[in-house]
Amino acid sequence: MTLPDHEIIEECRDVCRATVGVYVLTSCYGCQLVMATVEKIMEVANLVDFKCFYMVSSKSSLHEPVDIAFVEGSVSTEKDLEELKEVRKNAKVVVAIGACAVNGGVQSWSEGDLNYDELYASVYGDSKIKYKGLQAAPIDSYVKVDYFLPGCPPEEDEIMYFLSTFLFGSYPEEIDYPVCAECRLEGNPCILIERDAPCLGPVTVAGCKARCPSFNVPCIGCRGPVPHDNSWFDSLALTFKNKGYSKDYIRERMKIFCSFDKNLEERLEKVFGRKK
Amino acid sequence: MPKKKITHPITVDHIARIEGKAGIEVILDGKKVDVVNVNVFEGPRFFEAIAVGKHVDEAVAVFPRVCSFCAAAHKITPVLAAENAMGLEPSEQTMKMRELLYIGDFIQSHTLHLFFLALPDFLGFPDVFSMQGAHKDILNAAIALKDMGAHIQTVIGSRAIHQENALIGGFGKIPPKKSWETMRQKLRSLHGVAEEALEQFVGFSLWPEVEAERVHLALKPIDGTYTMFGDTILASDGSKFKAKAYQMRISEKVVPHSFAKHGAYNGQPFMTGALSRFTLFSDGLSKRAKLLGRTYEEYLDAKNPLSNNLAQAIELVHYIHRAEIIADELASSIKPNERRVELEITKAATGVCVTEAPRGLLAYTLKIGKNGVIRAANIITPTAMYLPMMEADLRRMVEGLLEQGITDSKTIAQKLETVVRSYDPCVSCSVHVARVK
Repeated sequence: MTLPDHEIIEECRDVCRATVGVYVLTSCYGCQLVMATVEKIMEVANLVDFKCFYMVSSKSSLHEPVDIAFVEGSVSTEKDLEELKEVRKNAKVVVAIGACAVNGGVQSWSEGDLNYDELYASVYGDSKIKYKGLQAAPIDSYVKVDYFLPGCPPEEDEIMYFLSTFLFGSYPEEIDYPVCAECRLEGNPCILIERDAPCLGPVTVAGCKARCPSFNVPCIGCRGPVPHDNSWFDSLALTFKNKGYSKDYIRERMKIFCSFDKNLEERLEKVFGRKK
Repeated sequence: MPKKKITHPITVDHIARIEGKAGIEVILDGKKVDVVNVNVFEGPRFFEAIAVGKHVDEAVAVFPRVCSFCAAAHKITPVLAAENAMGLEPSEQTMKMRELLYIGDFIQSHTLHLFFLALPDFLGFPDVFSMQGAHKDILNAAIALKDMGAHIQTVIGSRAIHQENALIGGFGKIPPKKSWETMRQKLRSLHGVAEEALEQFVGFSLWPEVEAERVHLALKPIDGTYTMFGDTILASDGSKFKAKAYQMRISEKVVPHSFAKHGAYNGQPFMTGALSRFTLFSDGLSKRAKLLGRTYEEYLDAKNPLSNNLAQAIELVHYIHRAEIIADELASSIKPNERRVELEITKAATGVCVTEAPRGLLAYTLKIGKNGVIRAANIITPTAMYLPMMEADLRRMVEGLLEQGITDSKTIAQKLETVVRSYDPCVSCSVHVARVK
């Protein structure tokens, strides 16, 4: 049975091996690193057939058809874009993995402030390089993406969850609640309310079991924005304003991992009020 | 045997089993090697440019994202640079925890490189997955060491890569006594396992084609032992200079075939990394690592880049031992409630820090305004520093093989890839790119 609106693959059981490609555009290679080092990686490698995984295998090709494509990195060069289109053409299911592929990543921090030419000039001056760069962008700016696996880096158990649902002929469900929900379950005191720390938990999608707040470190928002119409947002994020944080400061902090969130300004207005 | 005339190029479009996207291009003109380029087409990410105008607290959370293999290096180095700018002195406990976190990074990074990226070449496999049947023991060692590196970084830093718990002034949370005791026990159980990589690499001869005199640069360990912190850079040509003044001796320039710049020391190519550290400071290694280094001296030739694999394997032994000592000290001295030193920014200032990352010298200069905002940043990574030397070695390799009458482009290409891998390049680091002044 095919579920409407959800791209899935045939369940394999013992009779076939799903083909998987792990591709990278421009990034730090962290998503692949987590993937290549998940605790059960050797079992995974026996269950699936990796057609492409350049970081760990010289038996890799961009041009083979695959059931599942995991794409890490932002589109940052014309070559990235060509490769991405090739991957989309060859894959049944495309998963954007990690902050760069999902939201543009930290390299988009100055999105809206500096364009590619300005960035290039500030770094390379007048010197010419034979490859053409592009303004960093998440992959769904260019191709259809079936699933999003956020995080910088993504969590190991989430990678295993995605992989196993696909192998069972099913699909992974989206998380639609903020880090705060998991932080409460971890039994942490709220560092935003009690210690005035600039914790982005209220506006960040959960799935990390509140890793950073559990270390008394304010959330930096690496998993990207929580779905827009979330009620937690209104109540908890108001604390930013109540604690005296400025709209500009919160915007800069959120932009590290949310610069491509088209609702960013609207979210900020909800907290800090509309411009008169 | 008459030399065959070949004019077709030797190309590797995408070098597998390295961190990042790069290719090799060799153009031959008759019997002469015309061009040898390591093409770096990994997209630029402009870290120094995008950090400008942002608060230093956020900037030091973003910098580790330069590279996942050495995220802790890209965290601790800018944190120290920022503290240096503000005259903030971290506590002794903080520095011990940072060193141990950094060692966790070395263990993880060297293990991944040696077992997952480099070793399949020597054992004749496309990847580590296909070694499961024939080399179960090697894989068990690889996984135990990788897990150890990840464990140290998770306990101290919050996770195996992009550690958020390391902050300016100290740590958000300090692990209790029990955590250090567990860590020490785990490390102690790995003494034998840590020697597996060395055992595997010993016995493969170093290719004579790439042997050549070269200058090595490394940071003189601060306590006279063998570690990643220090104030002075030593060169194997006998000179030394202040790490803080690195920009006077180490420069970078743009080349057309690479988004990574090319580094130079006094205008010349040079090497940095495990082999450079071993060459200059092996006397400071822990007892067992030093003994193994002496025993296998012939495989640790400063003139041959393939020795870098062996030097990393020696460091793996050293760092497992050193980590155990530090974990032991922390188990008995830990003050879990020590407060983080608050950063007070009273004036604009510039801070510099150079450390030894797994792949070599890593330099950060941060100019911070009095509102705590980054005014300018300069980062030079090891891979950008040694790219010209790597290209020179690839040229030597091609010339040497052609001289022996080897003209099959596939054979040559495979050898070139192995030379590149011995450097353990970190391409995504190298394209972070420095700011033009």
